[in-house]
Amino acid sequence: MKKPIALSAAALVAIFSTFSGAATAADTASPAPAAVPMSTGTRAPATEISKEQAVEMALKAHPGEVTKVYQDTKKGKKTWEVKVLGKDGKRWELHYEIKSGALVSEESK
Amino acid sequence: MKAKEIKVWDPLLRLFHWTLLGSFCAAWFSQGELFESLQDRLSGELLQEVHVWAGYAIAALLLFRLFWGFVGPRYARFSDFVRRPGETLAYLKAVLSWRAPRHLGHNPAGGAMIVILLLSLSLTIVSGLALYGADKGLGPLAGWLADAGEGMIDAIKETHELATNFTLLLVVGHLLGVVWESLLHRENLVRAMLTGRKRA
Repeated sequence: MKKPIALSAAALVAIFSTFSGAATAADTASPAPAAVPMSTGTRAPATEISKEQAVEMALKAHPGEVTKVYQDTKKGKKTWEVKVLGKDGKRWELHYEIKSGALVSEESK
Repeated sequence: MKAKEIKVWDPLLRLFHWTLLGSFCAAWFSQGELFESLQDRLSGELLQEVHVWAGYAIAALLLFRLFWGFVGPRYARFSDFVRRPGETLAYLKAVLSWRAPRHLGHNPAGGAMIVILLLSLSLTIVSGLALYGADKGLGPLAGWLADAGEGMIDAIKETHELATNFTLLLVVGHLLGVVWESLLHRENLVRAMLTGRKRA
C-alpha cells in the first residue's frame, strides 16, 4: 500500500515540474513570429508607450469608458490591452504593442 | 453506538478531488464572464496569471488521475467503477426510483460521471492551451498555432467556452448525484471525500 503512494507522489512531482518547466520555457522563448503589423492608420510612436498613452489612443478610436487596462500578449507581442465600454454600446478590446504603439488587434463584442 | 467505518478513498485521491475543485474555481472566477464586475476591480495581469496556472494545474491533475486510475488502490481504479452503458442506465433507473443498491466505491452512475468529467475537462484544457498559443502566441502550442487567423482563434475560443459550460453542467449533475445518493443511503458523501472513510 505504501509503495504505490510513494511512486505516485514521485510521478506527481515529475508531472508538475515537467509542466512548469515547459510553461516557463515556452513563455519566455516563444517564437513570436514577426507578422506584418496591421495597417490601421494609427500613427505609431517609435518609442515605448505608457499605459496612459494606450488609453488615450483607445478612447480616440472608441469614445466611452475604459473598464480595464493591463499588460497582455498578442501573437507573441507585449501589448497594452485596453477594454472600453464604448458609447456605441459595444465592448471594445484593443491591443497596442508596448514597444511601438502600433495597434495589434481590435475586437468588439 | 458508532457504526464501523472503513477507509475507501485514499489520501491522494482526496487531494486530487479537492485540488481539482480549487483549480477549476480559480480558473472560472479569473476569466468567467459571470464574474466580470468582480474582475474589473482586480489586476488584469493577475487574473491572466491565475487563469493560466490554474489550467496547468488541472492538466497535471488530469494526468495524475489517468495514471492513478490504473495503478492506484482498488477504489481509485477505473476497473472498479467503469461499467457498460446498459448497466449504468439500469442503475440510474434504480436511483430515480429510490431503490438503488449501495456501493462502497463509486456506483455505476458516479463512475460514468467521472469519465465524462475527465473528458470534458481534458477538452477544456486542450482548447485553453490552443487558445493561449493561437491568440497570445504563448505556451507549449504556440509554435504550431502561431499562424492561426481570426476565424481559427474564434473557433478555438468557442470550443473553450463550450467545453467549460459543459463541464459546469456536469458539476451540477455531480452535485445533484452526491446529494441524492447521500439521502438515499443515509450517509454523508461529502464528508467521506474529506475523511476517506465510509460506513462498512
